[in-house]
Amino acid sequence: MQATPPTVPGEPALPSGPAAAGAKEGRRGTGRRRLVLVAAVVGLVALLGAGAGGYAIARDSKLGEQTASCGNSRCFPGITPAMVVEALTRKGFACEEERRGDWTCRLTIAGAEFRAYVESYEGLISDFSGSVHPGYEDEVPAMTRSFLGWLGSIPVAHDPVLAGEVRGWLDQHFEGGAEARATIGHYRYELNAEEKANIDLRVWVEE
Amino acid sequence: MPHQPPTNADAQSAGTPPTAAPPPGGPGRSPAPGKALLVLAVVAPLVLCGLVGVLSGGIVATSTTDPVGPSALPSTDADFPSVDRRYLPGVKVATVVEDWLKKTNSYTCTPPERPSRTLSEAPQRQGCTAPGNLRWKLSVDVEFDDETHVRHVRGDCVFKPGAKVCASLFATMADAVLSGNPELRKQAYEWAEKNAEADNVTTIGGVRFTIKLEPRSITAEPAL
Repeated sequence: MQATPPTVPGEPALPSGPAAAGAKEGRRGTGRRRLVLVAAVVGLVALLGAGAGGYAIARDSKLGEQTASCGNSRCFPGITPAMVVEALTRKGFACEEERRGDWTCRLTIAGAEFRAYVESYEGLISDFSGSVHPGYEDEVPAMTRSFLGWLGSIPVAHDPVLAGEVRGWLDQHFEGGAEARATIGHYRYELNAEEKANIDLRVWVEE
Repeated sequence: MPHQPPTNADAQSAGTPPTAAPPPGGPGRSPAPGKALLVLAVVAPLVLCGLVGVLSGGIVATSTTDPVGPSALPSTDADFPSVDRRYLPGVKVATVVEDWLKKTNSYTCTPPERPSRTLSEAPQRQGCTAPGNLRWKLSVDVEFDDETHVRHVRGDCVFKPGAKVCASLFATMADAVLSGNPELRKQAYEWAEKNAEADNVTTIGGVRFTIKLEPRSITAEPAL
């Protein structure tokens, strides 16, 4: 025998049967919607926050690098062959593009040829050199020092300490009458001053 | 049949502890699945979206950022080689060729018969020789671009060492080259006269003088 709750006259009956199940479903649906909303908000905040964080960390690490990628090689960041060619042309050097991206600039003064050569990939310089042939046999003149000092400090022009280090190293070895090598910043320097009349400087990116 | 409340025996037979208190939150409803879902709704998107965010942020930064390099080239100083340093400072063709050689010393000056490559790569040249029988012994070569741009002056003297004429040629040439500088021309004159019998070099007023015994000559070029 089924027991039925007593009904008080004048009061509505308690929900039961299909109507009660519908209300339960309604509550469950609202709960789900809330969960989805919470998940979406958390997801969005996490995406933006982590995205900004990841961007900042990767950017910092990239800015801290001393070399830039150029094709399969490493190059000096920020310096293009056009910048060097333009600066030397303004001084009266004759510049010509020997191969795509590789330039040679020359100026002869009193029989001495001042020559600069830059090699580039994808618009950035990977390797460059400067030479003075023939200079004086008894001394390295001011013009040679100025030219090679300027060339050598190009990759570190934004860093006065490193630029001073390059010029100091060059001055020290001009008179040494020998071949000298050094790593300054992340760059390799090689100076051949075995003969004062024929001086060569080469600078390239350390791999 | 009257309704009978269930006995303990009935409850035990149904597997329910007789004194089990209703869980908090209302009878017949467990909160555990709701909480678990909430934790999942927070943790799962946090981890997944966080990873996606870090990776995509990193990739964007790596592909769009370049390492810091110089934005401009270093500045050049006054000694830097430049096209205007190819010329003897202040020297004019008129001073050397017209005044010193032609008027004062009666030299004969002519451009080369056939265009020939000059030592200094200058486009013009005047070859000057001494008058009379000295024409084969004393000569001066002047290489220049135009009237006010002289690159190279060279005096040759084929007399043997000891001949005063060579010392005179060398000293007066050094004086002519520095005639625009009253303070230094005397110094240049004296140096060339004193060193006329030796291989020697000096730099005076931006001009490099080189005296050689073989062949016997003096050269004036811009100093490097």
